[in-house]
Amino acid sequence: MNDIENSLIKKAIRGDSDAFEKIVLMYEKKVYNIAFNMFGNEHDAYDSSQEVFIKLYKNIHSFKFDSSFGTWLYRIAMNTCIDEYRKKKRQNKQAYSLDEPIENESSNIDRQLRDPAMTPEQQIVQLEEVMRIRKAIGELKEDHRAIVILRDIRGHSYDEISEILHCSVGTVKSRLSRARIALRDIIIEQEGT
Amino acid sequence: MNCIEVQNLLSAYIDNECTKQEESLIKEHLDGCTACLEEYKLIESIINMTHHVDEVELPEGFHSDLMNKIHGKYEQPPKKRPFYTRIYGNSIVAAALLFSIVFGVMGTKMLVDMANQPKSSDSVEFTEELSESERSNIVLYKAAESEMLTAERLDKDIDGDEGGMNEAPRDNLLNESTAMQENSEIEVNMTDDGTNEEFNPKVSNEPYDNISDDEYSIKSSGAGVENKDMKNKDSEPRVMGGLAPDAPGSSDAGSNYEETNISEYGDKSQATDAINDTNQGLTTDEMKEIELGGVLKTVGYVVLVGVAISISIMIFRKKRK
Repeated sequence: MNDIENSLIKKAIRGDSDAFEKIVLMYEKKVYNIAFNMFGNEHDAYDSSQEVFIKLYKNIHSFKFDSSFGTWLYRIAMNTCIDEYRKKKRQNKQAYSLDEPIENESSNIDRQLRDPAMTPEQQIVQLEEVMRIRKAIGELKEDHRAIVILRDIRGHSYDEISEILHCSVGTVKSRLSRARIALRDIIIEQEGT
Repeated sequence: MNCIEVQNLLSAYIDNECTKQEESLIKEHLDGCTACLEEYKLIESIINMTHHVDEVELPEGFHSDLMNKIHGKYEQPPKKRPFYTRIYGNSIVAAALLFSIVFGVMGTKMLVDMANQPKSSDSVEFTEELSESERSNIVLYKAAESEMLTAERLDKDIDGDEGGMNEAPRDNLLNESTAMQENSEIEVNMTDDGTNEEFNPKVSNEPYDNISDDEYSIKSSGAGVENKDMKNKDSEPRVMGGLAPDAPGSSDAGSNYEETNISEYGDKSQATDAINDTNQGLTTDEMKEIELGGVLKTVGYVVLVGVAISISIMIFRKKRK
């Protein structure tokens, strides 16, 4: 898989637009989801993730093959989202705004169909739970949110996260620990109200 | 291990990112500490909840919208550059063509004047004059020819268009063209005695009417200079006879100049006598000086301009790449 990917990247660097498009197809859903989890809504996620691939188009020649392409791309994605998020905060706009669950309903229904063991009640409970978590994640500081997204939502290893966020594994450990404790505090506060 | 230490490591413990030593110490502590055990269970359930946050689907049109943006916005800029280069390239071609026309006219006038000199000069002298002026003309013609060829080649590289002078819009471009053309104008103006006073991009007859040159005794030949010039340029190779020009397509303008210069200087002694007889009102020595100086200067400037043009062409080629 890596060899195929590397040859595609080399072709794309040389200007092969078909190869570039194939790379986009491989990663666009994942990048979009990182952005969606950072911003909570489709509109902001759409703009940011498109921006990520435009940056990729402009900068793909600077990929040195010294890391995996995915972590390199996710670093661009995270930096773009965090920068955009901070920009909105500086402008006093609502940087994280959660879409109504109905926007994501189709994907949730697909998932539940795959697990026929869940009763309708269980499905509702899970939907509500997901909404709560998304809301709580939205209240995290952006660097805590980023690391929770990468570890718990996207499932990256500590090593991969250290590459993506360009920090040591020790920093990943401690930052993730603090992020989860912060999330716990938010959820407890939510359930209290 | 105390509670604070354990609670700091719970996150890594849940992810199996602790050392074996840390793991056993934490297990031991959790067995005996309810508070920490509660904390452990809470963190674990929150992590499980985040695992239910699944992937959402890509919005409709995301991919095609993205591809359009990339191909629309980011493939255009490279197209722009050839446009500007095209202007520069055409300016060079235009300048080179103008040079060839101007020098061709000069040479032709010289020839015509020599041919129309008073009949007292005998045929030998006349032939010698002719050969001398032929040679200077060869220099000029070759200079112009090689410039033109080099410029034409460049023009073909850039776009398949004709580098012709005939299109009206070109005038505007030429008026805005680079310093290179200005340099060539300056250098042309520096040739002695007022040849080519006006290097006017619009090829009209007026400037040539005013050309006077003591050395060559060129008189204004009135209207129709341009057409005559074109015809004469075509016929010149036949007139030259033995002194056939080098194969066209040679891009080494410098060596052309050198060869003709050497032959020219060699024959100069013969030519000066002839010119002495035909020129009036000037001493032999003055005539010699003026003639030598004039020819040298003209040749020198032509060489300089040719080299300048070639260098400019090379630079522009490099910039394009």
